[in-house]
Amino acid sequence: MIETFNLTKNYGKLCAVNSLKLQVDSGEIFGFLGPNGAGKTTTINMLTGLIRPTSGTATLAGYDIQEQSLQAKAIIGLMPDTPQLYEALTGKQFVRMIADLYEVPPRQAEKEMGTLLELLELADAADDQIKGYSYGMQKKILLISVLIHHPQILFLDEPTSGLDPRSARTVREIMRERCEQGCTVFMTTHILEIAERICDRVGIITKGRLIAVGTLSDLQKQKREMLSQSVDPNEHQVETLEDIFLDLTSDM
Amino acid sequence: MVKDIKILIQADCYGWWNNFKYNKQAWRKSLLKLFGYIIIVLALSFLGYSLFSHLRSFDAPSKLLLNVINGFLLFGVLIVAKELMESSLRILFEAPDTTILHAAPIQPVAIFGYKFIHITTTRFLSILCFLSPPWVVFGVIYKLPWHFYVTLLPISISLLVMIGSYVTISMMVIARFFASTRLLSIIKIVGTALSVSVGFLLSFSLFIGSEVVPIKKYLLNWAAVKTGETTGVISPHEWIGQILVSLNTQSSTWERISWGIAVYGFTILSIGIAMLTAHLIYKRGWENVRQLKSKRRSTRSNTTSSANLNSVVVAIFRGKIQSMMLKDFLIYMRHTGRLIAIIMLTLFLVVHILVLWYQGNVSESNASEILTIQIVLYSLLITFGISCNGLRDEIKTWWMLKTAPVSPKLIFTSKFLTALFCAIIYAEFWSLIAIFLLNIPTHNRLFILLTPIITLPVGCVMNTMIGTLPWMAELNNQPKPFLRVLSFSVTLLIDVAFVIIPVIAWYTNNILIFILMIFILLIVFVISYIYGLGNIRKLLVAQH
Repeated sequence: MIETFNLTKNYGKLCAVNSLKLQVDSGEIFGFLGPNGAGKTTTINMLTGLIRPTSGTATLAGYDIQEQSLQAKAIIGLMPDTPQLYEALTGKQFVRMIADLYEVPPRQAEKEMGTLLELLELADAADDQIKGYSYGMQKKILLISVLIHHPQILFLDEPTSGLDPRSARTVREIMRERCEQGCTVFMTTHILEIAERICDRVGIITKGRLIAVGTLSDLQKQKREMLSQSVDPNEHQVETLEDIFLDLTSDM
Repeated sequence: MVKDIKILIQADCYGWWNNFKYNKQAWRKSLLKLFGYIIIVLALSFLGYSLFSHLRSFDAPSKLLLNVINGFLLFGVLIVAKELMESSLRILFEAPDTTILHAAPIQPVAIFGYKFIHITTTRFLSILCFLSPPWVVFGVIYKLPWHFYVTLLPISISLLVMIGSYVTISMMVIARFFASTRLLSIIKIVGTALSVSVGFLLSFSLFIGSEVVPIKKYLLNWAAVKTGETTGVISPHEWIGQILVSLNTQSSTWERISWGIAVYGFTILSIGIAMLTAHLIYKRGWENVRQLKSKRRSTRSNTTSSANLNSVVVAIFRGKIQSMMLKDFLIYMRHTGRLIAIIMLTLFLVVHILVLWYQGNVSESNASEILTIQIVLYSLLITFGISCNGLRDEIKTWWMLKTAPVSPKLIFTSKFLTALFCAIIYAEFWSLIAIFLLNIPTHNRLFILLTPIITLPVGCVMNTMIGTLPWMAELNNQPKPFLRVLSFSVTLLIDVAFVIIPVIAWYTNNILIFILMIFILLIVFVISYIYGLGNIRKLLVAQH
């Protein structure tokens, strides 16, 4: 569903993303992890057509994000880390506008919006201007606008940051439900427990380079290979994603 | 406390110096501001020269002279007070650093002290620009000695500090005891309305002949009335006038010293009162404003009529282009500054229509043509917020359109059509009012009603195209203020030309000229549309 071929982004001499080769399958929740400034958001920005790569290409469901941008954009939904919304609009006006841009039939949009507003406990504030929303409420309304057109690929940058525990759980449940319907989720997070719990596979990027990718057990193997550690058959200690992440990114 | 203030001011200076050193953008903005100030200085000097030459010509009595000076001072004081009011509200209560400072082990009075210095220092250029030009002109015309000019600087500083104290004390009292979202909005609206009025009045003094300047007549009348009054001198700006005039007249040294003591004594006293007020109520006031901001203002309406209206709006504005147009319109209408501009321009228009109605000779003069020009020009000006500035309003949300499946054509057309609809509705509404109220002759009615329909589409499409220029949209985070101001000025001139072309064609009464006009407007329309689309296409694709 998502494929990148030597995707590279340079800012002057700084290489933000270096020859990224990645493949994410349909219906998969892919966690993209890395320390601050590792290149996670730059990768998402390239994959969603916000910035142009210096070299390399990326395809979304077979559409080249540069050459067939309109087709590619029609099947994706992006939720950036910092929500910047049309503050002059009310929550409902904003969601309706997005639904119209993605050509969702009005009746379906209204029904879907109602369900999502209830689910994320935002129905009471839906007729208020976004200007008065808290950070968490802005994230919720943004998420609703992203989900309303049923994108085939969801790009979520820190989807649960700023949300209360109940909403964070709802978001995780929605992500899982959408994946069961065939949607692909590409998410970044700093909360490794969440990544460990809900992601099918994770990729770890540091200093612009993808250093490991796979399931938790894949990552354990890769870590041992990278750090030249031998497998001790008597060792029964279960490594968490946090241990692996810290080990892999500490020496880079 | 002094140590804390010193640390904070030092940090402020570092920030200012870093901006000066590394931020070319800040440089450009400062230069542009300086250019604006030069225009103000020119306008005020022109006005001052006109007035003082007039007073000198008949050897005006010193009391009338003093009152004219006081009139100028009052005007300058009002402007500076307005600027201080806006900046004190922002810096004392809304600036993000205030939270950090109140959380730190610093006394509120120290925070206030630092912010007071920041507020007054940043307004220093304003007080020089608004107060000094008339004084300097006065000094030149009346050939005053050199020490008059030297005294100007400390006296201006003193006046600035006094006004600053008054304003900050008032703002602290409002924040502490009368804080409400509505009141704060009113303060902001009054500030913007004052700015628009001042700009309008100053442009009059620059562009209209000196003998008919309305401000001059008003100021002279006001001064004459004041001269007849026997009340004492009570306001600080009047003391300032006294101290400066005493340098010129035959006043005794003791009189000069006493005025000096009064001014500087009161300046120090004002600072003391401001600090005391800050000590007592500043932090509580800040808490109140903060609470207001965190309270979500409900815009929900549960009435049946509004629910019906909502459903009608939802039904009509569905679909890509309608949705985009609704968004553009709502962003435009929920901008307080723009609403005030609409109200002010409409007020000018209403006054003009009422004056014509009162005179009652529309059919004999070319008043209906002038009125048409005014209506169409105002229609273009009030929709600048959608056409010329519409894209700039989307800096923060541009990512959304970039990642959505929207075409450049959709974005451009929605902005153009929204601007056009608003402009045509405004123009035709006021044209109809004018036709019925002024009893405009039948042969002129068609001209009044048709001119907006011919002119506004071209004007709106061109303005929208100007708004798509990279330095106007500023979506690439590389603002170019000089190019921006230049583009605005050129656009205004072209808009005026668009408005005048139909009048010329109408006067010539020649069908060939009319066809030529339509042809020219059509070419401009097509070029603007194609060029605007191209610009949006470039802005919409992924940037390097």
